[in-house]
Amino acid sequence: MNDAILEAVGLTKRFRSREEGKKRFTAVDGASLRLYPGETLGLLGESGSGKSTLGQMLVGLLRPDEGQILYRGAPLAYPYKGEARRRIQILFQHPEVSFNPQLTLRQSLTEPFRLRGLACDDGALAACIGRFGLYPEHLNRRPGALSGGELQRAALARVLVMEPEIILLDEPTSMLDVITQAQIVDFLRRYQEENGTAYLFITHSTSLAEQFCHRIVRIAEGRLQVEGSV
Amino acid sequence: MDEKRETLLRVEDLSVCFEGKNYVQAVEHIDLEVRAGDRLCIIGETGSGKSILLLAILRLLGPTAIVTGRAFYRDRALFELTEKQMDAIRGDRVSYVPQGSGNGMNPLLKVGLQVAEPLIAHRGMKRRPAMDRAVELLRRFHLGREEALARQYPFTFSGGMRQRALIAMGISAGAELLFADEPTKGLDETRVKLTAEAFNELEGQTLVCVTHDLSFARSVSSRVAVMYAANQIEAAETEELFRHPLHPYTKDMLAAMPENGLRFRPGYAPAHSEEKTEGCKYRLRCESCREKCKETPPMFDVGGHQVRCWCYE
Amino acid sequence: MRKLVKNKAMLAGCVIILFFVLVAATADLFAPYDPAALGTAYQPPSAEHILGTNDLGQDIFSEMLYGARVSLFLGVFSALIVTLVGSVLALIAGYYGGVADRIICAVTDIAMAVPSLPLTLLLIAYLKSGVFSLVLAISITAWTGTARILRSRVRQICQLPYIKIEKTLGVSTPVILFKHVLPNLKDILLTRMALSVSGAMMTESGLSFLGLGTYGQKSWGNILHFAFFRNSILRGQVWWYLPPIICICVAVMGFMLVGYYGQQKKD
Repeated sequence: MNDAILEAVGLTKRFRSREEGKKRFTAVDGASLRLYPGETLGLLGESGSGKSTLGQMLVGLLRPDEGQILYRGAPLAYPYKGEARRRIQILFQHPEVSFNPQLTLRQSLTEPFRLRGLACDDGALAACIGRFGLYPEHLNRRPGALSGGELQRAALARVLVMEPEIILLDEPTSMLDVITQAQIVDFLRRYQEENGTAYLFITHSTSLAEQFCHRIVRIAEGRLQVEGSV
Repeated sequence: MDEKRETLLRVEDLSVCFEGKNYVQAVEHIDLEVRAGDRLCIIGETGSGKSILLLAILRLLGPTAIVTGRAFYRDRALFELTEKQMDAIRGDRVSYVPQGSGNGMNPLLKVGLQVAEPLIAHRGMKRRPAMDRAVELLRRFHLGREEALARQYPFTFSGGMRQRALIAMGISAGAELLFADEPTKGLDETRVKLTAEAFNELEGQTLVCVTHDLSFARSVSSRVAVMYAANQIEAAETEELFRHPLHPYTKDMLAAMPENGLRFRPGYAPAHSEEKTEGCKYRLRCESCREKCKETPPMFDVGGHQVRCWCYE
Repeated sequence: MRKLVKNKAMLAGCVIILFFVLVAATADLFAPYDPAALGTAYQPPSAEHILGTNDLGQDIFSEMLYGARVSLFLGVFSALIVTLVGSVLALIAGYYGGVADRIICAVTDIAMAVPSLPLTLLLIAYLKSGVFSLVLAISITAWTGTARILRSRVRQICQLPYIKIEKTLGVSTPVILFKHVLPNLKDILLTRMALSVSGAMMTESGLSFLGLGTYGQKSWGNILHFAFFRNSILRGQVWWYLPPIICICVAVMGFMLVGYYGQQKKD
């Protein structure tokens, strides 16, 4: 097997507890996992199990209290910089708040192009969203005027401009209807076949994880449990 | 079907539209009949108008909504009652579990008291036994540490806990007709199962539940109505519908479920605003679309299984 | 219905503010006299002096027009400082969280606990008298509310997926703050700004009334101060003490109406 593209060793995150009595509570407790290129790893857990916290540590949105994250074998420091920052991206559960409500879709989509120093004309933007069944007239709308399915597709299109090697999928389809869900899963699969992208798929749905993931890791109360293949 | 059971809810030709900058037809010509003991699930994707339908029946829509048609609870025409009479029905015989876990509860009252309130207000129970009953109800929804929780305020609850407490509140007074709007939204798999179990334990109550969760609908309902783009396109007994879906949309939807392999046909859904055109709303995505589909199909009856599609003419 | 109400409130507020701004801007065109020029004292309103004269024989109408300049300038300038300080602190505290947040919150809490009037009075007593010391004295305690409200809003926004997505895309912090966080605060900023103006104008008139205002430059509070200490109320010189009171009230209401609009939009 190839070398892991992303490896977590003993990640731990504690938060100040809201409940009285306990001072701190451990959201993620010594989580270690490996993500290989071209695979989909399912992170399956109930709400409050720490799966989103673990995910956010892996993409560099939260600083781990303990443990280390390795990208291509080299340790990553928080906050991520350079190549690692570009190659590790995230897609969230709530498409309606995945875009700045003040900006049009065009303005939001221009941002990743600019960050990568790519030419960003109407043609590039149209091609970027075109493969997700969105049209140039969508570009002038603000997020409020687009449906959840449309926004999630646009959010995916936006993230893919960065040509990520790793995408953290934080329940990206749980707010969508089943047909849109199937379409997005299908697109992700085809994209993975072409580009060898690795996905870390966070979900609470066993049936969806079994369909989509190559391997599944269960998480409960902040601890990873089984690592096995489907 | 046992024809002797009384009809609790009858909806005739109900339409809802919203006036304003953009005229929106949210619900179009819906007919429904719910008999005592029925468990009806209305399924459809976000924006299909299913929640609006529920709110329209209960007269909970804002002033911008224009509701036409008729709805009857037993013999009483709901749209002709005064606000006061409507309030009396809503609290006592009919109860409503709102969508979303955020706004359904009063943040300044302890949860136990809120669950017990319908008992005190409509059943004339004393506070103490009502509170005991509330704890019992919360226990049915497996919230954990129910006695302590009943004495806490809603903000200490997670979204899922609040959602289940809301359902407990809805059934506490033993209303005979329970409306639930997306009771599983934001809940994870285990909690969806618990909610389904709790619904299945309700006896003697008639349920009208709006949901987008197909497996949940299958596990709690005896009958399912499918809505698409403001229209009811199919209705049948639950097992019949899930085993032999007739409408192309229902077929596509069931095929796309993870359990059935996430299958779908290429092409993205056009926005609902682009489906204002006459005729079958699904024809832009439908594989068996033909010339006739430019006319709006009526509801056809195929052996007790109703479907709005020209294929079954 | 509600939309209409808030639009009306907003419109009324804007009209009032615009009116006073015009008055202040064109004071030297319309003022019949130099407000400092002396003349016959204690004259009741007449064709010559629309609002009569004060104890030094200065034309009160001219005083009022020039007073609008000082009062408005003080209010707006203090509000600008308050909003600027408040939002910078709020952005730092809300975006970075952790230690920065705790320090800023602690400072805000302490500043809130300090009784503001005595502190303001003390500052004025020690500072050189003038418009800018007054602005400083007013702003030094007024920023806390703005900072606290904005901070919690910034915190909320920073928890939203779109900010997190910007971070993972590698957008730099200043761009996130100024392009993605700040524009989403504009309603609340408008509200706080308008309410700060009215608050500052009230403080200013209060201070001037006590005789701690701007010596030499006439503000409405200043006019009221002299009216009161020259016993205009006992003498029944309505034309002297009423105009500043009315102007302060109406102007403050104008800013509050604008703030009210912003608050409604936030819900």
